[in-house]
Amino acid sequence: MMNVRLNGWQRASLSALGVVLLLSISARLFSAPGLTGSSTVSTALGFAVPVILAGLGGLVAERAGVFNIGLEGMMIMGTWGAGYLGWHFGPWGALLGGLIGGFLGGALLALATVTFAVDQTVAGVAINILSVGLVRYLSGIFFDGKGREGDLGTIADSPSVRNFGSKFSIPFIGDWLQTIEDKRWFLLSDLAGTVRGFTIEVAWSSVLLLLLIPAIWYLVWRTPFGLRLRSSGEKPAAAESLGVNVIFTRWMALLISGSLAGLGGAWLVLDSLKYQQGMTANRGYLGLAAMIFGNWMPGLLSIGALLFSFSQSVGFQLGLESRAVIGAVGLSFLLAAAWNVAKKRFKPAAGLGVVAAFVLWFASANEIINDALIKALPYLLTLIVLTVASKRQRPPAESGRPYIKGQAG
Amino acid sequence: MTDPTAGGGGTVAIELRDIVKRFPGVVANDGVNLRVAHATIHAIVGENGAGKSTLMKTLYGAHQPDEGTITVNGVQQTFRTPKDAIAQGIGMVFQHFMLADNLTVWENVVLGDEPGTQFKLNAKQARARIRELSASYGLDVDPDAYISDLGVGQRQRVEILKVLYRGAKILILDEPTAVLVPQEVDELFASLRGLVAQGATIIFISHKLLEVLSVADAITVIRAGKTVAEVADPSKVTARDLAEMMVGSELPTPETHGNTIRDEVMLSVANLDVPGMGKLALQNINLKVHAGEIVGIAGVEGNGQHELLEAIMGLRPLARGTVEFGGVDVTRWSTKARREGGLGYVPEDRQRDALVLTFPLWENSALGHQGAEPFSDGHWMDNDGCRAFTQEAIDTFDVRTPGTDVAAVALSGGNQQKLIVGREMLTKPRVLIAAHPTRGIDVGAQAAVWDAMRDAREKGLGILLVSADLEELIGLSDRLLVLFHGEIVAELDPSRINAAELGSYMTGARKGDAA
Amino acid sequence: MKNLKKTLTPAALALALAFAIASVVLLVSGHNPLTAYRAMWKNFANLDGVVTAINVGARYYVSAIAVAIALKMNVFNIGTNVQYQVAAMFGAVVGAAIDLPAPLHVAVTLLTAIVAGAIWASLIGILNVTRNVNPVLIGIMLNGVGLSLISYLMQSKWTHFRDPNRPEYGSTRPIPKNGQLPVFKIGDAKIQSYVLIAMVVGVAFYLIVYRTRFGFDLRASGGNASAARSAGINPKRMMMITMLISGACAGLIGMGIVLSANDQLSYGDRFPGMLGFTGIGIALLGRNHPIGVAAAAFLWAALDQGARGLVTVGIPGEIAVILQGSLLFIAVIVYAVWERKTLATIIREAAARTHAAKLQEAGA
Repeated sequence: MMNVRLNGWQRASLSALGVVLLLSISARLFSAPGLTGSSTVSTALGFAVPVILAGLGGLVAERAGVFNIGLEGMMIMGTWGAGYLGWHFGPWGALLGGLIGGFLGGALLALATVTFAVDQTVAGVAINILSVGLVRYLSGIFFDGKGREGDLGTIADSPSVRNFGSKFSIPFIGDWLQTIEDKRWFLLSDLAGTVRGFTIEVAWSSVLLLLLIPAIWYLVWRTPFGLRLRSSGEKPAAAESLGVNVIFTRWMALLISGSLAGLGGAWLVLDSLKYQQGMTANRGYLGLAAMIFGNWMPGLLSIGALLFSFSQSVGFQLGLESRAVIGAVGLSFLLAAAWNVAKKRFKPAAGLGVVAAFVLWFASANEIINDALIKALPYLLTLIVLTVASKRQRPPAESGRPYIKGQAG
Repeated sequence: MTDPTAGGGGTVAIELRDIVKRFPGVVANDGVNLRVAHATIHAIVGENGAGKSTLMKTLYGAHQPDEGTITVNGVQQTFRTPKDAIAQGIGMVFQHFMLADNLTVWENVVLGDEPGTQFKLNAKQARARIRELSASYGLDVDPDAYISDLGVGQRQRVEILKVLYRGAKILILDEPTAVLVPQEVDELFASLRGLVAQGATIIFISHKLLEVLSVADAITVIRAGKTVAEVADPSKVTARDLAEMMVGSELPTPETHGNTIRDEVMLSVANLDVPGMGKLALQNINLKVHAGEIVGIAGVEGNGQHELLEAIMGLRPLARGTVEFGGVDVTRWSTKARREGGLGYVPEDRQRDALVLTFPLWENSALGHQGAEPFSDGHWMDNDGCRAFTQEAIDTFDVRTPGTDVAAVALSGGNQQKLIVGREMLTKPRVLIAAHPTRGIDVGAQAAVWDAMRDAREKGLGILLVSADLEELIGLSDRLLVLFHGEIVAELDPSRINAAELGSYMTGARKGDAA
Repeated sequence: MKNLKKTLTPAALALALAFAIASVVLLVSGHNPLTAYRAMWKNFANLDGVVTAINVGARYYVSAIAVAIALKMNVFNIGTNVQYQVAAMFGAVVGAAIDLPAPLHVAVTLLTAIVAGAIWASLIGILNVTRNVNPVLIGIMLNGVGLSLISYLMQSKWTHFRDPNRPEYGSTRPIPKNGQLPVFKIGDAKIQSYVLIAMVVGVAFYLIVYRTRFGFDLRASGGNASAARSAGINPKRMMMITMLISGACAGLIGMGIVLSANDQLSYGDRFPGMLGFTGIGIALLGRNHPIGVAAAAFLWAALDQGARGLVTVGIPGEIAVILQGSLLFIAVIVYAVWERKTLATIIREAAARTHAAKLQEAGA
């Protein structure tokens, strides 16, 4: 393809720019200016936070050699913990509760997969099943019928949880971006809207948790612990032969992984202002998908998570926007078809062309998209992205394999 | 010099006395003695399973001996973990490289002993230290290169750097030349000489006797867990002497007698190109195997043998060319069709490609033949038939096993290999593709496998033999083809060539046909 | 006999540990475990309780077998949870729309569900084979898409999907008399003939996996994919066929509910939505073995049944879910440790015998 070797952050920025370009074209075609408007973007950013955190959790675990399919369960445990401590101690309590819930989930997975070397998928799925029953049982004891009059918990909900009072905005630039956004200039206004969505009126919980993206990057790529972590996922026997304790490292990685997923759950609780059963809605799994899309790098992973969440957030807008998102999907198929034509691969090009034509026809024929289909959009988009991305990806070499001590030499 | 360890060749760097190491049911080391003089290269030779690796793991602290003592520079030591050994200046370079492909050279080297603080890895310092070590020992590697981009020789240098970085003065090298081409072997030996000149002591484990004789200052021979000979002056022994000390008896020789080659072409590969990483892995390969003929493929590992075998078996897509089998074009056939048509296959990596370790032996002996008698009627498995066949293979090839119902994982590597060879030979193939059929098996079994191949050849079996054992290649083959950089560079008559000459063809130093 | 003991010991150990954990949870939340277990036992150990457990266990069994067959080749079909719902919906629609003589009617309905399940599952196979995407992730995404598809169709204007006579249920039309699966009476209890279907599924699973060449190929692919390929087994073909079989089996999971005369007789809002995930747990608990899975399915259903009796003593019924979840979690750990231990013993014994033979030879 290209001979230029880009690093993770450069690739992430380029992809981000490409996505905005695609969306702005689609917004014109289907006359849906709200598509790249700051409100859509800021909703998407919010939705993305738990997915990003789950993805980071998956990244830390898998970089250390554990495929963490249990993220969903850890996030569920995080939501419950956040609901409980948030109800009692406010937003900081919620964050702490989410962290503890996820931490315990991570410890369970570590016990099974690291200490006892159980198959990682099996143990992860077991945790997901276990967590559902666990939180329901706990809710029955701690939430059901508790709380103040008019704000009673049930077996499926906690009493309400307070969020941080104010929101975060970067000063001064908001109005200036607003002006550009209103001009409806092609791409420029779209960019302004996007940036504005990222910088104005962002929930404090989002800001705090998004800081974890660079923090995790630093931990994994710039510290001795990070090096040990990555080597445990690439060649644990080598690490052990140099005196690195692989078992300990993987334990730590899973504790961090679970805590991250749990914090994602805490964000959901702060956003909904209470714990609700089933509120994670597969975000743990979407996080894993984002991680694969991001090639196990934090920057690209975040872009992936934003993409999925974007398609989710337009579901909350009017039909025009969802139509434009489907249009953008069609356009990207068209682009892929063109790419294949340029590479003289006509068979896949024809296939992609047919799909593109169908999707674009669907978008232009239906002004209002059925609600049920909009709900399917993030999943469909994830599937498409995984389909496109998966062949070129390079997962950590030893991911998925239990490590039994004493394999070195 | 006041430091006794820094002196000349007189002092003893390592002394192992009466080391006994038992594993459940097996005594791996049974009273081994070893004395290594300071600043020398000391070779340890022995057959597979003689107990060399066990001994070195003891010395490296990977496990503890049941009896015996370890003395380093005159002080008796107890090593609980490799860390203890490292602290005494002992470092180990493993046969199978312990390197993470997706990390850089410097990351691999400093791992576990990183410069900087807990919160910040000091990459600059790491690079500087590695450059310094590279320069002073003549081990040239770029610290920022990714391991996946390095060749085998460079990877080995990284391994040695890892050990030096930790301040090792005593280096254990386990089969270091197994994966190197001859030129790289020379470079390695030069580096080792350089290390010794700077005061390092090297323990060199190998079974390549010619190399041992060329580089070692002293040799210890181990057989069946015991020290059987000490050679203080390697110039006074020959490779044959050493080999007989290792085995304890006369060696079997791989030799075929008489010409059994028939006119019928059993396997024919024409104009074959096989795509590889970025470039062609195989280019314009033409070869024929006749009935009753053994065609040997010589070549340093990684010159296209693997791809050739996979292409013939239908496991790898071709860019161009045809494969014919008994006169029928099978280029578009699936692996299954080829195997059912009578193509036997002994893959190079038995645990990866030839066995399901969790299956019992009787299921493993059906693997690859599960669609035919006596294993099944094509749809339903015949478990009794499988068991009877397995028993036959066990008896014919002397597979040491408690029975047919044992999982394959329970067998030693040599016995696994015997089972595989038995499976492929007893199913009466028309052509056998055999990669390293005697790798890692003991001398008795080696002779049995060679006999079986000779017998089958007389009965008209065509064999394509890939091997790293040059004596085996020369002794068994009716014709030799040399693969170099994915091309056949020479066709040789094994009766007129010796191992050294063959070696020079394999490295590309000589080309063309020698009749 | 020795084998049976080897199999049962880890299972019993896991069960005991799970009950211990549940007891601690109960004690911590201020309940007497013995009271709880007594109430559970009372609600289960009677004709009606056992028959209900058998009826429900049969569904669990089919669900677990659908997962187990894919697990035999080391593929996790996490998509069964929606495959069975898609299949049940289409089965219910066709079963209500046609009018055929009884056995044929039922057969066509079942076949519809089987085909629908297989087609939906085949998407996992296609995407994995052509694009090499992790089948677990595809399964999860397809679960999301499938539920949307169901709610789209159930909200659509087609009355086959939404019975206008019962709008409050939000369900398909009822299955007519001649399309129903019979129910047998034992005293007051009603056992569904669907149990027979589950038995057939179990026998078929055993024969396919352990007796046929396909089963050999399947297990070889699961045991060592690379060796299987060298042995002429096409991994892509195996993946496709396995997903088709797994999906077909998943298609049957919900049909007992749709077709049994004493059950829902339609697909709708009240249809259980977690049978697939439960099946995963049961398959793991029963170690993918047809008999082990049967025992696990019955146990799981028995715990469900017992839990309904907890209301009488004022203990949350969710303790059964904790019991099931921790049983599953502990079981996978105990099995893994046990397997490794057994393997080490096998290797040690074989090595010792080989060594003894060698010594004998040397002596002779």
